[in-house]
This record gives sequence, C-alpha cells and structure tokens, in this order.
Amino acid sequence: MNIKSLQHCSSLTFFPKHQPYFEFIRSDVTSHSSFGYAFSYDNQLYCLTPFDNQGDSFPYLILDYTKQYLGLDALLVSCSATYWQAVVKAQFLAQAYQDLGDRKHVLYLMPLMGLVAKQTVLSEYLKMASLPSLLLDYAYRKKVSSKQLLQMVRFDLSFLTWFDSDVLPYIDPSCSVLLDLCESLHDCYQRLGGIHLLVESLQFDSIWESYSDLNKRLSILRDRLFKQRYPTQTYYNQRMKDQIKVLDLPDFMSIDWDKTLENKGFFLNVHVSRLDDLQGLSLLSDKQSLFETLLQEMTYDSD
Amino acid sequence: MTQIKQAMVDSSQVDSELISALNEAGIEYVVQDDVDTQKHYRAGKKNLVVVDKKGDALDTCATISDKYICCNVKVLKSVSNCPYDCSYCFLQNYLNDGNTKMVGNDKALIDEVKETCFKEPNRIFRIGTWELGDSLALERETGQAQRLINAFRDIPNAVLELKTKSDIVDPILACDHQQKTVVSWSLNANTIVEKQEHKTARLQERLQALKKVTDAGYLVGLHLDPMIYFEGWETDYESLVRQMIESTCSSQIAWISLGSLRFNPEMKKKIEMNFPASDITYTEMIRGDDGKMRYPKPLRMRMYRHVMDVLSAALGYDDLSPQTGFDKPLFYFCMERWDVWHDLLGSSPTSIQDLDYLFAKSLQARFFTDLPVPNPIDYGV
Repeated sequence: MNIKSLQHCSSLTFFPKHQPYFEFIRSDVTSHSSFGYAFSYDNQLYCLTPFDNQGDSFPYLILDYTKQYLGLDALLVSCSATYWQAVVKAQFLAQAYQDLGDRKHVLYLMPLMGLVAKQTVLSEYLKMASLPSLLLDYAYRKKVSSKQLLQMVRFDLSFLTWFDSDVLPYIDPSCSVLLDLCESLHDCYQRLGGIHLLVESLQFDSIWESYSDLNKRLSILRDRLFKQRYPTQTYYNQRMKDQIKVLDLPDFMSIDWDKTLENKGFFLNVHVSRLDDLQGLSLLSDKQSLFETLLQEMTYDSD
Repeated sequence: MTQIKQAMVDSSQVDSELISALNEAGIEYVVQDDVDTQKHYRAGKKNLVVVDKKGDALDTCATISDKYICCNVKVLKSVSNCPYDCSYCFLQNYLNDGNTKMVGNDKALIDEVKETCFKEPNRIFRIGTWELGDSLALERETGQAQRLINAFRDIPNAVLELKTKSDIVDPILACDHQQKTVVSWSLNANTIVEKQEHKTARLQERLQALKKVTDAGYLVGLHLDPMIYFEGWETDYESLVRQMIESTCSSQIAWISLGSLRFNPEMKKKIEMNFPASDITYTEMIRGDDGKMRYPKPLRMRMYRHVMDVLSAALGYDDLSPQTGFDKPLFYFCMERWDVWHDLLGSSPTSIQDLDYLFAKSLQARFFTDLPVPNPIDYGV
C-alpha cells in the first residue's frame, strides 16, 4: 500500500464506518508513538491510528486506500493486522462481510491480515467470529490460536451458547483444559440427549454454590465429568479398589493397574525400608487366593 | 445403475481388460494422464480413475502394536476409495486423493502375487483386495474381481478374499472359482447398516447375495466388524448372527471374525464433521496401546461374549477356538488383545504368525486336502 504524503494535523476523527472495528481492535494494535496513520475520504482526513491524539499538531502518514473497501485496507495496514490475534481477525472479517456484503471483497482484505485469500479459510474465520461473546472474550484474553478456535466452533451453537452462559463464567480454565472440557461435555450432552439432562446429571449449581475457588470448581467438575463420560472405567476401577481394600495390605505394599483397563494384570509394589518389611512378604502367599480373585476380576465376566 | 459419474483412463491403460469392461458396461471415459487429485475423500467417490500399477501393490494388513493380534492377511491394493460412505470409514482420514483409483493392469497385479506366492510354495497365502476399497462395489463396471478369481484359481497356494458391503455378486456367480476365492461380507446389526453404512447394500440384500454365492459353491467369510454399541445392540446382533448363518452353509464358511469399533483419535473430529447425525463417537472409548480409540475392554468383551454365544448355538459348536480343531469355520478376533482371546476362547495364538498358520491349517484341512499339511516353520512360528 502506497504512502501518499506526510501531513501534520490535529484533532483528526475516525472514519464513522470504521467505528465498529475499533470496538475489537483497539487494544490489539501496535501503537506508534512518533507518528500516526490517516487516509483521505471525500477530501476529508480521517485518523486510522487508535490512540489519543487530541493534542497539538501530530505527524500523520497519509495512506492510499480502495474506496470500494471503505478504507478497510488502509486500516489493516496502519494497524499491522498481520500481528493480530486470530479472534480479532475473525471479528474484523465478520464485520467487513457485514459492511461490504460480498465475500470476494472480504477475500481481498485477507492477505493484509497474513491470511490466505481462500473461501474455505474465510468460512472458518466467519465461523470463529460467531462464537458466543464470553468465548470470544476468553479467546482474546487467553490468546487462543486459530487452530484451537476451529476446534471450538465444531460444536453445535446451542451447546456453545449454553457453555458460554452457564459454565464459562464460573471457571477459568487454560485453553487446552477448556477444549478438553468442551469435548467431554459435548460427548455427554450428545450421549444423554439434551442439555437439561446433562445439567441434571452433573449438578453444576451445586458446584458453583459449594466452592468459590475457580480451580476447585474446575477440578470437581472435571471429576464428575470423568465419571459421566467414562462410566465403565469408573465402575470397574471402583470394583478393583474395593477388592484391594479386602486384601488389607500393609502400608508398605500397594497395588497399581492400568486404569484404562486395557492391560490385564496388576503391579504389586513393595517398598522395603526396614528389615521387618521383608517379613511382611510372607503375606503374598497367605493372600494368594485374594490375588487370584483380583486377577479374575479383570476378565469382566461377572456381569 | 452405475456408481460412476465420470471415468478417466491413463493412456497406458487404454488396452486393458478393465477398459473393455467399461465399454461393455456403457461407461464413457476420457483418456487423461495426470488427473487432478480430489482433496476431500467424498469428492472423488464417483470418479473412476484407471491407473497403472505403481510400486508394490501387495502388502500385509498389520497392526502397529504387538499387544493386539492380527491375522497376517496380505492385501492387494488394486482399488482405493469406495462409492459407499460409512461413518466410521478410515478412508476419510487416510486418502490423499479422493478419486476412486483402480489399477487397470491386472497382469502386473497377478504377476506380483505369483512372484510372492511362488517364492514360498509351502505357505498358503490369503490375499484380499479390500484394504482401501470395496472388492465388489464396482464389479458391474470394471469386472476386476472376475479376472482376479480366474487368476487365483491357477495359483495353488493362494486364496483370494473379496470383501464387500455390496450385493453385487451376479457378475461373479458363473466364474470357475474352484473354491480358491472366499467371498466375504462385512456385516453389521441392522440399526448400524441403516444409520451408519450409507449407500451400501441393506442387510437383507447382503444376506441374499451371501446365499447366492453360497449356492454358487464359493467359500464365504463373515466379518462382524466393527461391532458398534447402541441401545438394543444385543437383540440386533443376535438377529444378525442367526440370519447370516441361515443364509449360508457352515461347511462353506471359511472364517468368521469379530472386531469392535476402533479409529485413530483424529478420526473422531472427522466423523463428527462429515457425519453430524452420527452418534458413534459419543460412546465411552479409551486409547489403546496401538494408539487407536476403542471401547473399554469390559464393554468389548461383553459384546463379543454375547455374539459368540449366539454364534456357537447357530453353528452348533460349543467351542469356537481355532486352536481346538479344524472341523469348523475358523473363528478369530480382528485386532484384539491376547488376553481377550484367552479369556473368551480359553487360549490365544502365540503370535501373528501363529494365527496365520492356524488359518493355513484350517484351509488345508477343510478345503485343500491336496496341498501338503502346513508346517509351522514355513509361517515363522
């Protein structure tokens, strides 16, 4: 994009049609301390640089632009849009699509954001922009990548809207935890057949009311969700725990096993720190039949 | 009705028998080298691209983990992609080119098979054409299976397996197969066929086709794989087992396999994207030692036990184990753990090679008594 001139101006206003864009790009632009950008539309200069420049005369680089695109091309260049977060790019493109009304025009703007000008990519970004508001805020706050945003938008909108209003405000997960949470909740929601059934089974309100610590809430929720999502593993692992309790092992002995239940068998751990502990090894033969029962438990033929 | 919308033929293949078959079927084609690849697996399902054989076409269908037993069957990659659209199909996450490609150069395929089989004359090779596509779905248009059936008839130590979800068997009924071809079906509970196996032959159509090939004297294979969990699975699978056994003759069943739904983790997203109405990804799954997602073992074993009970009763054999005699169809699990074999059948093969050997023993004892009795050493046991 060409620079047409350098002018010193004071009290430049923003182009009215750019106003909605500053709602989401304001805090994501590179600020220039020594100069600003502007463009001339119908013989009037408009500021492109979103910082307070109401003071004395200030140097502005006047950018060339395409009228058809409402100067959005100049705005993108002046704001170094290639460095924007994915969610800001998505919101910008959605707004541009609304204002320009033609996907082809929006495609033209994409390379100025460092994006490939392809319909499929545009569709992905428009979909990202359709995320509910708290998720968009979250994506901005946590600097969520486009790849991660794409994982979010594959869930259906009614689910995301519910998650946005009824779950997200009560927790503060990292992005990877949020994606895992969404995946698990979505699986359970689909399996149960509705949000209300999911809400009923996980009792979210009781978590929010009982715990004020956000991490604690998250941990309780994930624990309940695991049981809901993995009922078979939960059931058989509990049976194993019950059987191990019956063994009544001394403290220096413990039993471990594959909690996914794939690998048959168990590890018997003996921590020997005193000679007396070695005498306890005789327990192994005394309890052989109980160990056999434990192994039998892993053939899963009792139900 | 043809499943092919457009056919493109590599200039090296214009004289192939496959082209004669296309002509006979009234399929128009254009001669075109370097056909553009189709990025999405669905985009090329109705494009038939006839290509030359490139590199080795014969491979082993194998698992990547020694914790799961495979049967060591060989696969002849004569076709890639499939006109059907099963929700769980791994091709949606596997193919780099969505065009349906078929090797036109049958002779080159057969030569490679012969070379492999003649190198180890004391082994019985099972060779399937179903790795990347359906063995019979395009038979009316291409006639490839008929040519392979004829060729395998003359390879003493090889058996061809044509595995399908179609009912397209009429073109092969008159072949002089001499029981050197096993026509097998991937069968599933009717609910699964209706909801997940799109564009395939319906269950009753497959069962009728099974009856036809049985009457034509073919050996048959029955694959209940992938078994999929759903509300009411017990009665649906029960009914399937009874019907399939009634549709054939147990003395002609070469093998029966069970396997459960499994896929690479990245497939979950693909399935949910490509089949939004499908609910198969929402059931509880774990990540197995081979990296594949599958049902937790207790659930798999419950499903297997149930089907095995019904199968035993339908076949009239108390013991389905392939290690306790060769007077019955060879029963096996596909990609399943040693301990699952052991706990459900009382024993397990000692290795992938051992299962391969058991197949050979079963085939020789039941169908190919003229061949020498297989020796474990020849199978690397």
